[in-house]
Amino acid sequence: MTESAPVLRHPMSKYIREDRQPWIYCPGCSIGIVTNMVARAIDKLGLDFNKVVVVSGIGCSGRSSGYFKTGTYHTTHGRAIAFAEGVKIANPDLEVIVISGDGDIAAIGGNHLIHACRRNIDITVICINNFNYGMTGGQFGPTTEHERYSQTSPRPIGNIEHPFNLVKLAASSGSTFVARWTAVQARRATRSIERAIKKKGFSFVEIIGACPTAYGRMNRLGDGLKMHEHLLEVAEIKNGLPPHEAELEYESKIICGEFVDIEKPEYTAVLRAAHTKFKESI
Amino acid sequence: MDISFNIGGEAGQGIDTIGDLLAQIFVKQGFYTFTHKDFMSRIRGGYNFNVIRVSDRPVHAPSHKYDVIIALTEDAIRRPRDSLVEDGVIIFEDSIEFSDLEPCHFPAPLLKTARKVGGNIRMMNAAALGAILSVLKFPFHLAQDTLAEIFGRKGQKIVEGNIAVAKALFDLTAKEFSRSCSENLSTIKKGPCSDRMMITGNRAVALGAMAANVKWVSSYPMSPSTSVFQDIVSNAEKLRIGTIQTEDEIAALLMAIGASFGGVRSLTTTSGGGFSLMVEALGFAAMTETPVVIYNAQRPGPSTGLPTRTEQSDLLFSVFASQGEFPRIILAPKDPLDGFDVTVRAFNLAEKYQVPVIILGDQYFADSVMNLPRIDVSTVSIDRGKLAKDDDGEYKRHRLTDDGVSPRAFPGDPGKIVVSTGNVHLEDGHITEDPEIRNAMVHKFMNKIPFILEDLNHPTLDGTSDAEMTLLSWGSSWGATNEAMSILSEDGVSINHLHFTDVYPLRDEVLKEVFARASKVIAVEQNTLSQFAKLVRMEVGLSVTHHVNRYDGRPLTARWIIDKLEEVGAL
Ligand SMILES: Cc1ncc(C[n+]2csc(CCOP(=O)(O)OP(=O)(O)O)c2C)c(N)n1
Ligand code: SF4
Ligand SMILES: [Mg+2]
Repeated sequence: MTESAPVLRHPMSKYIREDRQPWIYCPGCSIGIVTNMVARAIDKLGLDFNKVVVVSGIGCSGRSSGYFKTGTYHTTHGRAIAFAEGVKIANPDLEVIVISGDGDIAAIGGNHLIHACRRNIDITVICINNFNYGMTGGQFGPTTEHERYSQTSPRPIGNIEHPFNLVKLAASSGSTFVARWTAVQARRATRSIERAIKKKGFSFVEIIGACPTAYGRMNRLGDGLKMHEHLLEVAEIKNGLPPHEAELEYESKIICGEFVDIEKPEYTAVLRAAHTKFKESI
Repeated sequence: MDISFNIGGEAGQGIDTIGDLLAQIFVKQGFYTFTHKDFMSRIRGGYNFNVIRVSDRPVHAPSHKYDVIIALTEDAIRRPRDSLVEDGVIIFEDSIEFSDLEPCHFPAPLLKTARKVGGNIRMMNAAALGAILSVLKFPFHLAQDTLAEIFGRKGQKIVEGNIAVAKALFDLTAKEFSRSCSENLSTIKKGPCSDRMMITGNRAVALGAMAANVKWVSSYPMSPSTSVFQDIVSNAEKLRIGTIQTEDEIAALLMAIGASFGGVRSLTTTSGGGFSLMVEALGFAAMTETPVVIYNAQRPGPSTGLPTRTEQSDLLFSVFASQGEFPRIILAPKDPLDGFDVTVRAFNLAEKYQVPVIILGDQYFADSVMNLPRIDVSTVSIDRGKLAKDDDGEYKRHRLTDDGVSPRAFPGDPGKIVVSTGNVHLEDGHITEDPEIRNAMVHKFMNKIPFILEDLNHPTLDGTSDAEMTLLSWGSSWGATNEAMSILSEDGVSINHLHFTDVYPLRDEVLKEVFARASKVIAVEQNTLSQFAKLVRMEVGLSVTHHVNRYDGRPLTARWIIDKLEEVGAL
């Protein structure tokens, strides 16, 4: 109902599909920002479009894959990582990037996450953690804090469960690169995403985001702007901190930075070596 | 009277509220209402609309034509234009840039009036309502009372503001828009309907479960089922119901089975994608003879499909899901009232026969709103089936009996050790590979089927019993199909309508009679393959003569069915 604004080209229009715009996201949502981070990271690294596959699951975050001009795959709820592993194993020359939500990656898909970490397969997983299931109207999820409200943890009691700390989960499951940023730290987050993509091994980047429509409204956290201002306020950068100290308390402190960057044999490389060895043995 | 409204706009603009207010005004006035929600799988933007149909006769389906359209976006002005009746009206928010004005169009200052008169743009809903009532010449004082009642809880100021905004638009429309609408309600009398409870199919299922004393619900959110779970969660404290939102649907069904094994009535709610994940546990429930109720609100598949739209395509999947063979019960309610009844029966049947019961709803059933009579919960009877007595001797969970049903006991019951396994087992629940026991246990399962069949309801036959043509439907296709049948029979066609709510196992007595009498039997289904017709052929060996299938995710209407009947040569 507002006057239509003059059409501006998207700064990342080289990578982002303008024909799929406007975004489906609510005003003030972080997902568009994160999509941009990934586009910028691809741009900075000068990746060959044709060799990039963006994979996502189902959810608001999961819709991000559809905005990329690269090959994209929108899989089923929770299965993005499992699918991505198949893509990478079939053709290790591809750069495989998963972008999805906290519910998708850590609830229904939690098992695939920990096993992909353990396997150390060279894919990059970007989890947009908005502390709830945005797409289905705002139910609590595996990252929702204790006593927070949601459609399925209503007032006055709130969530009786306790959240995962995804940085700790990924690190202890064996991920070789682990970072956390908030949606407002666009430059730093983009740089981490670049490193994550470049890393030969499983990389996990958590981006703390705002879902003003569901989580924000139910917990009276203000609109998108206010929520992002809050993220800026409570983000504390501690690069190199041991991952088990990377605390996350929405109200007061979100520890950000790169916490893990280690070398381990990567799955597809090991697989190739095994094949070569086998061939030589016969 | 038979009026249809289409209220369209973006997700998040409040079209539901306008629709609710409008429906409530007519409900209070004594009319039947039916609201269908057509929305996209996104939280903001896009094009969504609600269709509200109001009639002095019961209505169970939307109409294909609209008398009044309210549009909050340009899409909402243009897209339903071809479905407007000849002298219909399109009222739209006047800040939308739209220049292809026709006489049916009325640009109304909804936002401006809400802001100016009410001091709050949220009162745009009341503004829209005022404009709608005005083009219908609906006496404003009747609506005023209803608005006062609806907004009463929110305080005098809100009541007055909304009424003032509605009145302002009502008067302004009367003054500035001279075209009269297809319906003139200036002399409207009280309608015949005294049903005041406005609920969706999903709410009916939630109420049914709570009335049936459900004590455990474990679910993972999935459209269009989620509101059942949310409804129960919001009553859980009061009714002492255990609820848990699990990490996925595998856990959801397994926890429900566990709770049932522990002694309580349990439910899980999902849609087809989630039901796919539950399949392993379904077989486990069957093998361990643990009662459980699964509500599957179907949506078009396969895979993520059309998340917010409707289809009846999980029937054969539900009949066959899981490896192995075992009895199960599938019930598909025709409308919200039936949804309540079906859910209560589902719990009783599950416990009586110790089998999984699947309730097949769909988005159309789940999200549509109707006004129903008050449900008298005291008429609900609860049958927990055979329970072990103290003097039964040594307790054996899977004791062989004539009717295949073994008395249930629960872990913790004094003197009874409850043992079960997903492996083939002895009567006491321990593993065996003995072929004789294997056969005995298979027979035990199959022995339940004739008893279940006896317990299921017959299909309903509407219209003359000896018609030449029979429309065959199941589940939520009832409404539009029945309306099509009524229209055709008023036109002199010899036609009736056979409808199944209890779809599996299949009671065939009435089916056989109908097939013997009718020369044409037409399956009307919301799927591509006529799954129910296939089930009939498989179970009874009878084949329908024609098929009418809708699979675009949109609801059936009577008109659509009649057009298709012509197209397939049935008429
Ligand atoms: C098997 C299955 N179960 C449930 C759903 C419904 N569903 C779709 S998205 C979603 C949750 C999304 O949450 P999240 O991954 O956090 O993404 P967000 O929308 O918050 O970005 C659910 C439960 C589904 N599509 N498939
Ligand atoms: S519902 Fe939440 S996560 Fe989804 S688009 Fe809106 S703000 Fe973003
Ligand atoms: Mg989320």
